Amino acid sequence: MLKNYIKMAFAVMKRRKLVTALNLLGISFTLAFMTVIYGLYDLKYGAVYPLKNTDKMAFYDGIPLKLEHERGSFNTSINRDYKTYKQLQTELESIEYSSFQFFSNREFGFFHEGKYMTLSHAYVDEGYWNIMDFKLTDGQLFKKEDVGNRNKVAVINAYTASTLFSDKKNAIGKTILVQKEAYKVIGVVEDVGMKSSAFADVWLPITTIKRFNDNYSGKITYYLKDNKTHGDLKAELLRWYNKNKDEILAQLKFSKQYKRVPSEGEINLKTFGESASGYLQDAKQLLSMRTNETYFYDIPSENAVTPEEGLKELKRLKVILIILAFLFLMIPVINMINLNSSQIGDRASEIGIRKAFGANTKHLVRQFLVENIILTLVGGLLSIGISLIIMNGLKELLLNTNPLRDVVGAFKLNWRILSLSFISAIVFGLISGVLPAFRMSKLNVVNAIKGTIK
Amino acid sequence: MIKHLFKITWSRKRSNLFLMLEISIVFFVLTFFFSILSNMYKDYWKPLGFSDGIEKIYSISANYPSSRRGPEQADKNQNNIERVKNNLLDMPETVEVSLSARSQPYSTNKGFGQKVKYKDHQVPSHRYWADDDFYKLVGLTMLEGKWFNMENNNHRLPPVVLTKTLADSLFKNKSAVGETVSRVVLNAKAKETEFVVSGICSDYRTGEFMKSEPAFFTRNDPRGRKGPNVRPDVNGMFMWGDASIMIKLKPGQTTSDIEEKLVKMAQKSISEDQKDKWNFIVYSLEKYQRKENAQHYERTFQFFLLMGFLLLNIALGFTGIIYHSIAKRRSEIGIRRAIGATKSNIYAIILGEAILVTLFGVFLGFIFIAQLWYFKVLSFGLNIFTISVGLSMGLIFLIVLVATMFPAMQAAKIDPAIALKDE
Repeated sequence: MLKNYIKMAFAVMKRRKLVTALNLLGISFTLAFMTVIYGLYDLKYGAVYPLKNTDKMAFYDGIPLKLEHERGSFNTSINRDYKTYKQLQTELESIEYSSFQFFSNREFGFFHEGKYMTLSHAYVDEGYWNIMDFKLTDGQLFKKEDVGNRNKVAVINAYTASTLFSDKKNAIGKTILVQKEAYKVIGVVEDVGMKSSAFADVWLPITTIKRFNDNYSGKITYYLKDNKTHGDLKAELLRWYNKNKDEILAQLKFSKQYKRVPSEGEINLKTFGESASGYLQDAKQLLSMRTNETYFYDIPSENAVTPEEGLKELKRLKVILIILAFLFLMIPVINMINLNSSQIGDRASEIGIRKAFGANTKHLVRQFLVENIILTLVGGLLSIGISLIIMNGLKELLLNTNPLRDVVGAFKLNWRILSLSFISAIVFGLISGVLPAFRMSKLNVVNAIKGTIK
Repeated sequence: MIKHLFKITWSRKRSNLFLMLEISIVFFVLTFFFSILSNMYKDYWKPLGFSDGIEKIYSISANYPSSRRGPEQADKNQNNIERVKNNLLDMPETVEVSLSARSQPYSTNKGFGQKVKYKDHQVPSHRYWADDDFYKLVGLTMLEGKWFNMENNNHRLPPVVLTKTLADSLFKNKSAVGETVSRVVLNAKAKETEFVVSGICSDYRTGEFMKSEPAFFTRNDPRGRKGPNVRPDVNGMFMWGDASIMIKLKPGQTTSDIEEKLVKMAQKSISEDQKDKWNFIVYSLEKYQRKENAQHYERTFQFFLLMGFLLLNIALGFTGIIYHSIAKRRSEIGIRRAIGATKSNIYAIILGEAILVTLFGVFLGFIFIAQLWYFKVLSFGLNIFTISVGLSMGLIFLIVLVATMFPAMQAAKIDPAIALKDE
């Protein structure tokens, strides 16, 4: 039966070339558009290399503290220093791994074969390799002893290895100059995409930062144990904070002008989506509906947002994004329903004859749905080609975060993207097919055969 | 005629309703995006003083030991940076050198937000630190008074140069030169720093995507070097350990090895004991421009991708529906032609229906977007709102007309004899 439906579907597609072309054009561009958007999203926020499981990641931004002054107040956060990090590392029970990082937004520059080049570098500790899943192509990653002993060792990506050392295989053991310090290359890893929040060319031990000490504040990331949630970790951090509150507040070095107002029961612990490089923060910037507000260096803004309010705002933004996405996808669906409904009259006599020979509603609905899904699947196939063309043609514009150098980590088709295309093709086929199919199957037999249906 | 159009449109309300809904959603989203875009590109085409000779300007950013280590280190830093400046200026390739950290074009810091006070009037503005040569290098034009220079060393109060926007809002129609303004400080007990207005210059924007906002320039005062507490910002050096040096080259000196020459000269100028603590990165301003603007262009592209997608769908929807309706109305059109309707009458009927549907859709979408604007969710001001409503309306009508034109042409070609014979 299915074979007949498929044969029919292709026959119908061939017969009404214009409608088929319009439908295919619409569906393939819609799906290609979705694939490009999802592909970009995936490259930036998805669990792509080297990220492992983004749900298990927790970003600790310290404890919020309000500094009050007679002319306004500041919000800041405390307890993000290396000393506290080390202490918490042993005390927290809900975490599997933890990592302390400093991603410098400054690149380091050098002359290589007469050409001026810059590379980006990140300072991390040994825990970073556990949180992430780097693919080593050569050598090894640095270990706890390297970080502890402040060993000047470096892990570099394949791009750096191939640009700096003509023979990629021989990078191990060579030296690389970062901010005039010589580091020994001990490992080469696969390139991390430029859009990724984990992007860097060179990774160095955190303790080799100039003037690094225990009070250094950095980015702290936790990786939860299998059976633990963000809530568990938050509760644990709160318990720890309440126990050591007086000691922490006594150690603060802020000017006496400010009155300290410690927060009650609040910890800045963010999920991957909410974190500084998460999609919600980026969407907030992209859709910034207000005119740019100036950050006032020494005058507190009247409408300063507290961290809790910030999180609430992000949740509201999530709803707006879902509504926007829904509105967007409504348009092609409405189009297809409209096009399909308008074809009812054309096929009235066919439906009438089939009904007269005993086909019931179920049969007819099934047939029209199969026809529609086949159409959308063909569109889905076309969309993969279109999206690949868009992605590769506009690689420089879409993927390159620093137009002064080559793109690293290009767009690749993966099973997530392919399955998204496939599933959404079927969903589109179903949604846009159901309503017209029911209306077709409900036609009056006599009128249909007589051809009095318009 | 109009009444007749309404009747036809109403007779096919089901498919027209869908089209109308589509139009209203698209109009809503398009206006939303256009208002963000027109805010972004508000001042884009206004001239930037430095954009003419941008390929001749290079910028070296220096990284050195923090001056917070004490006055001794600060003094060493000042000596070194001054030597770098003088040596760069002595090079045969250069015309001007300026030490103005965090004020240079395309720097990531767009000035510090500070409030300026004149009598009781306060204006929030951006503060830039600059030296005596800064304005020539970035191509600022002096509208009134003059830029600060060595003469200011003898004056009691430090000088300040206001941009036109700031001067206009602080002084209205009065002349500002010679007046005393002060910078509002947070600490109520501390004395407000007072400045004498030395001149008024054209608006300074650090890039194409910056807005003309109130700003002022304070002088990197060489007198700050005297005394036990060396002021960190004397030579545009910040205590955090970063400074930038802007260099303007003579015409025709932009050879491929100029970057290396500049950095080598800078490195040579550092005293022996500090040599390994200083790092320099050199870029042409053109490269900074490309890097800084890339994110804005990418954002623009993303918006256009989304808008293009919506417009393509509208076009497809209209073409499909109108083709179909014409196929069904062949005999009607045949009769119309037979009783004397001209081709342009047929066009009018078909385009009229499409325009009517679009008008209703735009109106529906306008009700929603106007509310967003009225309740300040989109806080962009009437000008930008009007422009974006106009742009999206124009674009939608254009697309609808193009998408309807093709089927309408087919309709106009219908031969009455053949159409009626078929019937």
